[in-house]
Amino acid sequence: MNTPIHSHPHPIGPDVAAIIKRHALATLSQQQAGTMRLSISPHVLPAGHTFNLVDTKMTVRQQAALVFVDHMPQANWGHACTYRFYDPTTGESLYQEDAIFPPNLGGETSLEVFHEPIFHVPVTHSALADYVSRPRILPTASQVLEQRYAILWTSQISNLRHVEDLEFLWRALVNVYGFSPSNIYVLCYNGTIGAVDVSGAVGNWAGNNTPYQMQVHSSATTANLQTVFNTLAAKLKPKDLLLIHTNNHGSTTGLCVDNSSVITPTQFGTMLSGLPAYRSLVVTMEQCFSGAFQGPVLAKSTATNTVFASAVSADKSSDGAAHFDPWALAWIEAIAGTTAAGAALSSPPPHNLDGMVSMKASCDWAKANDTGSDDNPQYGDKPPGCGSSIFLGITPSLPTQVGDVNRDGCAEIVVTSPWGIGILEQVGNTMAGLTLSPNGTRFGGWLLNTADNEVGPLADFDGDGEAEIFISSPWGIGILKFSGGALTCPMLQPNGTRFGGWLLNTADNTFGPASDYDGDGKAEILVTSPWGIGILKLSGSTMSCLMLQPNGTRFGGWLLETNINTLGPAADYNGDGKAEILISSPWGIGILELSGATMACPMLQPNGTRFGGWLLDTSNNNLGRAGDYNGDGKAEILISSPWGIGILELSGATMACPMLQPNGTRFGGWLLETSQNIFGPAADYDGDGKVEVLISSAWGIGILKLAGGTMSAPMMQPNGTRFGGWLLNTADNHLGTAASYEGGPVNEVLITSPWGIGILRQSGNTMIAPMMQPNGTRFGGWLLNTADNQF
Amino acid sequence: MPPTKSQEQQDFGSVLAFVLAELTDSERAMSVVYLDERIRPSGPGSIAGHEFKRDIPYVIAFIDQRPGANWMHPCRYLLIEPVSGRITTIVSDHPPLFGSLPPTWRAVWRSLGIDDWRLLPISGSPLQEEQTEENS
Repeated sequence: MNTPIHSHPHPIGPDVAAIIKRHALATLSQQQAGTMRLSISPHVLPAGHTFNLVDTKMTVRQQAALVFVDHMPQANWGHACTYRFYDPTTGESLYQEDAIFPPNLGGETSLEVFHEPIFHVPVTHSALADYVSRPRILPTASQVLEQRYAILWTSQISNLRHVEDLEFLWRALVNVYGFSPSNIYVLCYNGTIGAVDVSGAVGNWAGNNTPYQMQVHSSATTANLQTVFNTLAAKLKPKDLLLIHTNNHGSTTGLCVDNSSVITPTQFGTMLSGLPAYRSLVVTMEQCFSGAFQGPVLAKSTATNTVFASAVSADKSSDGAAHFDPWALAWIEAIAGTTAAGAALSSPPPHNLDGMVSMKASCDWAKANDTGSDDNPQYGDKPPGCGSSIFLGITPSLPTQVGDVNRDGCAEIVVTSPWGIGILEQVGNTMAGLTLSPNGTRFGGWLLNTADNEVGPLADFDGDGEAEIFISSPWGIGILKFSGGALTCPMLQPNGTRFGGWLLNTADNTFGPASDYDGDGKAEILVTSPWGIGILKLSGSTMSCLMLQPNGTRFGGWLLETNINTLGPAADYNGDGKAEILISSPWGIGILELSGATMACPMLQPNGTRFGGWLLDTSNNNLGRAGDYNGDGKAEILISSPWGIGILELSGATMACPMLQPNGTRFGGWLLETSQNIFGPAADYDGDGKVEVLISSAWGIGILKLAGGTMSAPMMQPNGTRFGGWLLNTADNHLGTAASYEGGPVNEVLITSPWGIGILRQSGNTMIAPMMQPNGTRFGGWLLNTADNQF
Repeated sequence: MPPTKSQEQQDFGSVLAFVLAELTDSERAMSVVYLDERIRPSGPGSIAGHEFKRDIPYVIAFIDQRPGANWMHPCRYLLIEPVSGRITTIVSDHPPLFGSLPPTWRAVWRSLGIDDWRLLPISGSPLQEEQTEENS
């Protein structure tokens, strides 16, 4: 620490201080006045007083007053600064010394600021100020069957801006998409959060001036990267996703490691080729000449679907900036939905009905919003078009955990947590716990472990009018049934079992949706794998397989390719009492229906087809929220795009579009803007036999109802509204499953927040909350905690 | 013979003049020039991995042709003989080193509109440049 001035320091007189300040200010140029901060020590420094400036010392030559000039007041120490010394009695300038550390690093020397520069403060939206910096994802206890991993890389010669990019991405992955921090391998600098243009600690993150959150795994060496690949080779499973982002310098020969070595595109491709088969690989690269990696990445990837994007082509250098790199910044903004400072994006990228941005959409947006004038962003995917169906969030979305398990006419909620499982039922203004069981419980032969059990969907698999719970794990699958106040397990089978011809393997089988595909009043469940597709039906204590077909099969005109086909939703689109399944691909869309031992395809149309006025383009169209919007006994489907929304209905061998409206349309008072609207569940909220769809935005929520060739908004309310006692805030409220929780034809919607849980019911032009309870409430024995409860 | 100036006495103004005269039109439009203000002895030398041999003492200048962009990108080094002004060019794509340049380096010229953040950091040098010329 500095030598103490002395116990009774001699103050500088106000007149002399004024002279000194005037002199100090007069020496500043106009430019310096705009950037430098001046402060004065209120006390006279004695001759011989010593400042300890980290690795150097500065001794005051004679009794003096001090003006401290900070050249870069927004920068981390050390940086340029000047000590100016003045005669404490006359104010005459004596001498000055330059340094890189201030006199008050440890608070030893008091300073009074008398000149502040003008800073450009980022504009932030108060409601979004820490949007990306505070966890806002819902807990994902049952996501263990689909892991998401990331490798974030800067070299050992990276600048701070590269590290800033990584921190932004890390926050987006963890706080927005729910990546487990332990699944993110940050290889940064020398194993710490540091950079070559920063001496000492990096200080707070430039995004919103808060401490860095990311956890560094190791230093950025080739050996460490290979070690991470080796680790992932043992971890990656067929359903998993891997994101790799490199952000640093690059040469024509490869990705910089340090000032004398690179990882070549060929080397990188070799690293990728050592991984096992998994679902999705996303590689994004900021460094110069990064486009050179596109070919090897797409060629050597062992993932079913691969996306590559880079700031520049193989022959160009990428742009930097004072903070963040322009292309990487834009891409991360696209996936985070916010600027690094927390401001809302003025023109957000298009997203799907759940609000998630695809890799293709994020890269398109980054290209359009890259401020680096010399960047020329590159993009490629394999198979072509797959990037439109790859999201960093869980897809398909988690199965519903709601159903009428006890045939009382009211839907119950299956809730899971790291502790175990429960079934909740609304009773008055609270919930009752019908049953609850901790992990380790045996339901018949099924050993409960919510750490690796995926719960749902719920459906009536045995046709008794009660919903059963489909459950899967790395061991196999089962069906749980609520019976006699407890859960039983009438069916469970391990991996390796043959259901007819279908070989069960939960490592690469994806289950759902469940629906009545054969019209016998019992639900079946669709299953897909890298091999093909099947429909499984409960049959005693095992499952039978009504239909199974390998990839390459033609269902009518539809060519089955499960790696690029997206299935769902299932609904009765033709009113025949059986469920059909919507299928889409980069080629177009179709509707499949069970037909004997195979599937028929009564409708398929390629992209470019006009459904009435709607131009089909699956690269940016989102289909979902199926339901009977017009009460004709057949299901329609909602479709959205960056242009607007529509409702499609099956019409012979094609689709008709009874409603389509562009963004900017007012549905009643609701202003449609698909880039900022998120669609909630479709259900019959008013009990008229037709479904409506919930819609939310940063403004509030509404209910849209088909009204001829447009939509009306019978309910819409802004954030801050009280629905009964529930305070609406779409920033942290999560809309869950809609169902008839209270019985009868009217559906309610489950809503959760960091505060607790509620059930909302439409009441005229607003909502009421017949049930709402805060975290900490006991529902029977179940302790409510929305931080780790999965509904 | 007039006495030879010591390194401390060397006036680098004339060296700078040689460097500025060497700039191309595109460099005048977009570049930053750094000068290592020390005279290097004749004999074998190297800069940024480029090895060479000089018969006469020389000074090194570094011209960053895309200041602020991520490395690697176009740049070049000038080896200047202080008296004669004879210049040898080495084309490169990376800086003298990553991180702060040693304090003998100084940013001596930059094109109009080049922000401070685009300059390479120089250790212990609060004022990175003494001369800024406008690009004409």
